[in-house]
Amino acid sequence: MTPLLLIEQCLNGLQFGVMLFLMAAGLTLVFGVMGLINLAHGSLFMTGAFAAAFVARTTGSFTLALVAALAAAAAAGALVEVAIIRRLYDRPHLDQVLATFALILIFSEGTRWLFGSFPLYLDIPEALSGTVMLPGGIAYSLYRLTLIGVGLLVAAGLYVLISRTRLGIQVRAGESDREMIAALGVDISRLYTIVFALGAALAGLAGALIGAIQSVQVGMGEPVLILAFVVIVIGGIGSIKGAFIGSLLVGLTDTLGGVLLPELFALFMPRADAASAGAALASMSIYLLMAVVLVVRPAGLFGVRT
Amino acid sequence: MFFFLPGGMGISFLKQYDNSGIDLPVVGPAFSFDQGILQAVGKAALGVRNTSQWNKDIDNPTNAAFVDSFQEAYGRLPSLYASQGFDTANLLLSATKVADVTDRDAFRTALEAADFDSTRGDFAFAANHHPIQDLYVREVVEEEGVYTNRILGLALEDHVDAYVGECTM
Repeated sequence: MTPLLLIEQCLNGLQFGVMLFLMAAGLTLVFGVMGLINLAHGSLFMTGAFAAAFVARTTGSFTLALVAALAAAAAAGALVEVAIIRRLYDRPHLDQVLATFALILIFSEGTRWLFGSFPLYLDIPEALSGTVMLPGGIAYSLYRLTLIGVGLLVAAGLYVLISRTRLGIQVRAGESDREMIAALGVDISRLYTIVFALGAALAGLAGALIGAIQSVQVGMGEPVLILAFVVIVIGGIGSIKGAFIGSLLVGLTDTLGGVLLPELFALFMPRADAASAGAALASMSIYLLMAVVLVVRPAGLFGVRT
Repeated sequence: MFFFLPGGMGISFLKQYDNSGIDLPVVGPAFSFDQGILQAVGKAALGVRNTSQWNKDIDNPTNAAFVDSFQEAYGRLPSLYASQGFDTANLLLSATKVADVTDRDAFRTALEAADFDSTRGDFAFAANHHPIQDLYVREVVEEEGVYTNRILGLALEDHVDAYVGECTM
């Protein structure tokens, strides 16, 4: 365990964290503003990845693929919101879970029907491949650095959107009291569709960016969705700042846990046992983190007790 | 560098490994380089050596007919999983020809005999019911825009599972 490896893993954890933030931001907005648990968020992640893979294959341009991912996920989100989600706002959470779970199945089978069961090809563009030399002699992947940059940019953009724009005011007001802002003349339905589509677009962007370094296949969104839920519970429902801090915490804990825990166990266990024990504990580490946070702050780090 | 990560994990690993700039050659079993996932990996997999008991260019009539008919039916090359399914179905059919399924002992004996034409060429079961088969070294290549494998040579001939001596069957 050299310092170089540790720094590199910290960067990996940071990259993982900001990508989780793209997912968690949409999820927490939808939960905070509309009070809706959306399990289909992972499917929107998958939709973005598939749209990007398809467009990259037909046009050869990664930029167009990203635009397609944003557009496809936003469109899918808006469509799903108008057609189905709209009917779920006044229903209890369990109904929402059941309905959005059904959406997962519909999205998955629909994608399989359109694209087949085999994973699709999506690769990082030539311009972003290779490594860059960071201070300290660390050769780090340029694409991952770009992901960190994109994630931070989106975070800054969301901050500006929520705190400085009219839409942001409406979103914040809607989180506090949605009946009041409807009474004040804000078109609630339109606001909800926009918020849902925005969350969906962010998920789609994450899907396209991650799909380039992982695999684009049906069901790729569900593992990320689970992590996103952990993030918003840690960060506090409805809080973008909470989603940001929470996602960085989860990203770093998961990555560093996976690297350091086997090393820790190797100090007093044979290598093979240490590797499996360490891996097992590492996969639990983010849930342990969530449990600790909930004990100390039951509403999450930046959550508001309602 | 040896690795074994099937499916989506293999795709992720190969793409990231290719981008990392490390130039240790990669080796692995065929499950990380099967026909289904090679297209998703793309050029990151080119030149990788992998070992398998089957490849589409094994030269026997059964295999040639299998590959051709699969392509005609599904418009793509078969994977080793498809060849295993095909062989299994033929094995079962060969057993049903000589014994009734309800007569367990007779059916088991018929299965052990493995009297069918396999896509792998010679096929027989060892005492522990693992196959005795040839293992080939393959290389990932690109043929007419499709990524697939090509046999480089024979790795092990009539290879038997390592624990057959300890099997009590």
